Amino acid sequence: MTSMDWFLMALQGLIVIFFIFLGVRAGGIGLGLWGGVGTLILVFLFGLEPGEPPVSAMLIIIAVISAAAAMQAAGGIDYMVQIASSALRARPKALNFVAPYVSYLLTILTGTGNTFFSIIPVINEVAYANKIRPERALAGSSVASALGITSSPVAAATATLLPLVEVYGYDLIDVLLITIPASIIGILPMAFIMARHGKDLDDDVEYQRRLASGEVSPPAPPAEIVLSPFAKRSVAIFLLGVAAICVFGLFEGLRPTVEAEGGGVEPMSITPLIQMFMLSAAALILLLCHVKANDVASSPIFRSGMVAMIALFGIAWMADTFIANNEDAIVELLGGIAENFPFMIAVAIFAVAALTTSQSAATRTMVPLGLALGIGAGYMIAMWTAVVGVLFLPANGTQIAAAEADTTGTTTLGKRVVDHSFQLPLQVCWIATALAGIVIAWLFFGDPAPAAPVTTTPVP
Amino acid sequence: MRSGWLVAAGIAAGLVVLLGVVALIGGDDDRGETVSAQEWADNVCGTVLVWRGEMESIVDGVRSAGGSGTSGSESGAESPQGESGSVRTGLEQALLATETMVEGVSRAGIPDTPNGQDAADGLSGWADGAVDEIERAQDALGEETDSTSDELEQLADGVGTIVEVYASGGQAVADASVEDPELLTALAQSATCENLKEEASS
Repeated sequence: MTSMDWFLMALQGLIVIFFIFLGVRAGGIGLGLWGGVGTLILVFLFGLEPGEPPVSAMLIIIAVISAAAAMQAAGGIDYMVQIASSALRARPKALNFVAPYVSYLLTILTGTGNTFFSIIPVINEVAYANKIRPERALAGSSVASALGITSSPVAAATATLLPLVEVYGYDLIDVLLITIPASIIGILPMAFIMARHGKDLDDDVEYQRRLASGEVSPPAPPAEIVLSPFAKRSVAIFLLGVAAICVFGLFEGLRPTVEAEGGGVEPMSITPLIQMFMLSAAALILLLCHVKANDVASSPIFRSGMVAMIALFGIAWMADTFIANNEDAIVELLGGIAENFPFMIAVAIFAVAALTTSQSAATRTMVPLGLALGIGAGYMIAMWTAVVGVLFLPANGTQIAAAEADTTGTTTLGKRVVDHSFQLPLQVCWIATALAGIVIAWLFFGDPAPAAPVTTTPVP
Repeated sequence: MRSGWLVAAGIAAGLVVLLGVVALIGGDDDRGETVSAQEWADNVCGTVLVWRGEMESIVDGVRSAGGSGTSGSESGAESPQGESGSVRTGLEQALLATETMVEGVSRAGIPDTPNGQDAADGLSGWADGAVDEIERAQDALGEETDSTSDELEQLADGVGTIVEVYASGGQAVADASVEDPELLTALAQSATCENLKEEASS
């Protein structure tokens, strides 16, 4: 690449950041609208080919939000809030620890962070009903959910990693034996810090402003919530839908088969199954819980979900347009840094994931480099968890949906692009997880790859 | 405010610890140094195996993109332009993967056997040649063509280069060691090299 190419790429990157900046300042669908303008400029001014809008993620949001909104219209969210509040009665703040681990588990079982959309409203409502700053539970859970990808046997990123480390004798079980304990350890300090992060709702200026202006109603004490007659039934249907997704996510053999690209058949992807199960759950709630379709569309969850979808549409489209046209240069740049300074490999994995917003791309490009640099495969697996860096910029669907769901205004996408609510838990979590993974790889797996040289005599 | 600074300092300290730990565990660079034949065999076979895995996925990607274009789909690869995009991307990815492999082969050092230097040079020569081949194919793909048939020929050459370079990977390690019985023994005793042999013959 010439200097001019690098200059143009930097300029395009600055434009992307500028429009994310404008979008987060505008808030709500503003994020999507400014993302659309950014895409327009990248295509018309710089001649870039338009990237792919995140159609799958958008459709999943529609399906999941339809089910969650139907459950809310049937009073199911109130019931879940009551149950969760009752379970957490002695220690409501335990939500800050429980929610991230539940989100993490959900991703492990389904192999996609998109299932986290289904519990965002529940976490938010439970936190608010217990007067817990929703940001604490929501931001930590978003990060834990993204981290779950590296612990999932059915995730695409894991499938990308596996052939690379199998060469060095690490199979799927070995990978999970490193990533799962490391992640469980890594989530803990994150949840601990998040449980103390930010002001309590009573002292939060933005929340108090919203409360005073009537934008948000004061939290109803869980004990005083009057349940609708079909609340429990709607929760049962919703949870059945989620359980079905988990079962079909984990056991590929149960899925219907489709024609494979290279001939033969293969199990259907989990993405359309999530959409089918969630839409079906929503339909069953309408049918069996006597909910009117119009009530679903006018529920707060539906509104915030649709706003999140539009926001994701524009911002992710702009990001993909930039990335699709510059991915190789980004990888070359960061790969070059790691090649010259191998100790930077974990940071390079994080940075590639952040700049390409793709865990699979970061895996595909940076793990082979780390292995070629002579870093043990066990250690590379530990550092691979840094692909959670996809949350570095506020352009991910779960981040946008979480910020939109939190009506108290504590969960934000920031004012200066990187100062969003998810940054603190992200930084704590990825560093702690990578360190824990390295220790696990060292203690229990050793380093079977490059042994110490027998002789190190320089060749004349 | 104070706790905010404390957390920031904690994160910075954690990052420094992580960098320090990675510096301790990582980066085994034996470039230009002699190493045991066994270590050399393990390292180069591992590097070439990882590279083969990457190339296999690139070849699959290019082939499936070539056949998955659907009419009316803007992003489909049915047209020469669409297929050109997927071949170009494939070549870029192949170049990146091969450059990584070259780095791995260089870092593996020189086996401490009578013909170790020749074996290391032979393998490096093949790896560098693979990079040159891919770069040549990239340049050819960038040239203007007079007709669609010329463009299709260019594409076929591009795909052919990726496949040829990929196919040569398994044999290259064996060829480099053929005149060195000690190295051949090391290759035979290396589980990674056995894997490579099986992969290459399948």
